[in-house]
Amino acid sequence: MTLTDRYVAATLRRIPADQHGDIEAELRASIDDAVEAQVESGVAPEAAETSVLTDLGDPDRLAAGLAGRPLQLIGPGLYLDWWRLLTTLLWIAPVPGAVVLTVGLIDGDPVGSAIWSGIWTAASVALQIAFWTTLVFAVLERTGHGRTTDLTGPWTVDRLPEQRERRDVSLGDTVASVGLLALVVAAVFLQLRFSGFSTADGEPIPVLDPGLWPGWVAGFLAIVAVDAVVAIVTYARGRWTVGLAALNTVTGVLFAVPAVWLATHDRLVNPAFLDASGGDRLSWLVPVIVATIVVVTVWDVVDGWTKALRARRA
Amino acid sequence: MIDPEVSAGHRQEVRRGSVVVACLLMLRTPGYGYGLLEALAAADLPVDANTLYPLLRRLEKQGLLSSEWNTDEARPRKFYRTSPDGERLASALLDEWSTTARTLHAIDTERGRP
Repeated sequence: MTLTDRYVAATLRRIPADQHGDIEAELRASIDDAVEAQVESGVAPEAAETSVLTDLGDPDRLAAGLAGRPLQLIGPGLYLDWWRLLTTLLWIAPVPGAVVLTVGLIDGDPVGSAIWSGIWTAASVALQIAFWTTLVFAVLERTGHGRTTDLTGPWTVDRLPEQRERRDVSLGDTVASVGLLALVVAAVFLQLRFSGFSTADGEPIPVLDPGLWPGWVAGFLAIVAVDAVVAIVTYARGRWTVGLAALNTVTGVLFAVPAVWLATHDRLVNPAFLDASGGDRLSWLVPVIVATIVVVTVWDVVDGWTKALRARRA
Repeated sequence: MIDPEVSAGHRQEVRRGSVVVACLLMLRTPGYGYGLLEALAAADLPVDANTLYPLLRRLEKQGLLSSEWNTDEARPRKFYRTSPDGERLASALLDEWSTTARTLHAIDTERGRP
């Protein structure tokens, strides 16, 4: 079997069977012509064959060209439709995740494993959506709809997005901030009943040190309340001001410094919870808590100041 | 200094359409793949084999070329010939090229060279 035989076979592999005869005969003739021309000009036959096949390049690429197949999964004709549909559909993914999370919490699963199941479900659904959407578009690309049909019709100026009144603080940001605060408050209360561990007589073991009640927790809730008010006032004013950024810094420091102090003095996490979970297994918990508190607080404070200063300059 | 890759990319883009016109014009006299490749190179319009062969099949599929197997010689070859449709398209494309070239030259003279 010569190199040419192998090259032709490799090319035909990716070509519909009904075109094999024609393409094989023509490709062989073309290769033979080119080799012959080189041999006539004094090149050794083997070297000529190698050089001709090298010039023809990757047989899969040649086959795609000969069969008129695209060398892209989704071409420019369909890309935007694919992207818009995918990003819209992906909004669905958190819904089953939230359902699984809620059902898990109601069933009394440990908080950690309920959150994990929720994230896992959302990620699996997102993966399925991405895979099937992409598959359908890849098929459309290959069945020739890629170049002619615009799935959502021709673009007109009516499709331009509404230009909203210029505001630095979007409703989405505000809802996310307040929602996150509500989630933290909920977690503080939920951890009393659902931590995944119980004492011998069936009493649930909270994650947070019981010594934090009521004083520390009350202080914490007060800070959360001020934070929520800051978020809502910022939205109402449409932008961050220096005063709001300063207030935000004060609440951030008032929260972070005591929280880190408590964590590093082993007064934040319930010792009974650490024991019940097998001691060493959760040795990462305190460093992760401290790192999270510092990162989130610094980001929050810097974000407030950046937007306040930018708004003042604008 | 122009990045050689950038300049090669733009040159290729300018030439891309010219290969179709050249094929349609040349194949008014029937020719086969390798022969056409040589003729284009001799005419100072070199094309890669792996670009030309798929192009010939596409033009045939679009009805701009017709083909026929010539088995008279020891090596059977597929001969392509420009169809009447191909002929009309070739003249139209050639006009387009000439017009574009004239327009570009006009812009060049109008704006002058620095």
